[in-house]
Amino acid sequence: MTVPVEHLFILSAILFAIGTAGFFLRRNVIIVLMSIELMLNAANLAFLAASRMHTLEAGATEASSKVLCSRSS
Amino acid sequence: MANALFYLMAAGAVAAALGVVLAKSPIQCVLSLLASFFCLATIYLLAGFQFLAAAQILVYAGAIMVLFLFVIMLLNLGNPSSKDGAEDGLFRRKGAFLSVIVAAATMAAGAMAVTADGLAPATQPMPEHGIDTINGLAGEMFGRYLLPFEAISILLLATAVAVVVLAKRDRKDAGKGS
Repeated sequence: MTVPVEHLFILSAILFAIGTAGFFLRRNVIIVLMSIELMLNAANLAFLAASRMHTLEAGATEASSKVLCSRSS
Repeated sequence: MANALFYLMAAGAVAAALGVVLAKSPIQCVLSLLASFFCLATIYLLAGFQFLAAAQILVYAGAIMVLFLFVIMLLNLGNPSSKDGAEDGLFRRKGAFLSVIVAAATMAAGAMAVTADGLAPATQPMPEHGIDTINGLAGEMFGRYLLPFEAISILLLATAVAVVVLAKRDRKDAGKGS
């Protein structure tokens, strides 16, 4: 895949914005929780994009540990 | 080919995320979220993060989604609740205002990321076994990042204890109330 890193960041921003809209606009607690999950995923995607940009393991470790620890939520 | 698949999956992820926010019934929301997670897992795979994609499927699609479905079905929340669409003008307007602000800020940050010239194009050839090999990940996680890792485990333990405490208190209160 040779997509520029910017597009990954843009996708992450769009997903985060949608999650925020859901968080503020929906009243149902379950759906609010799902919107938070959406925002967490957007953050993961941003970590991934940063890791890809720097081609370091750091971002991958961070994103992976976030995926693993959000098991509790 | 991979680029086209990426844009397809990105469009799918955004559409599914919109479905989470706009769908009427919680079941539809859960299924949209599931679709979004699968699209994101494909994107992770395309970007070379194989372990992350596997963890996304196993943890999110496997565990968290089943948890949401269980909660919705056991508590019988499947019908679109009348409260969710309640006419609460002030809250709605405030929420819409806030979300527009946050969305604008996020998009501005994205635009700044695009226009910044510090971003290197990611055109390096992909390693065959992905960027996040299990070996490298474990070495980093239990070496350089051991302290944050342990901090996360303490946080998780505290959360589990808090859940037990809150759940027990809730039951006692309910028993007292009846």
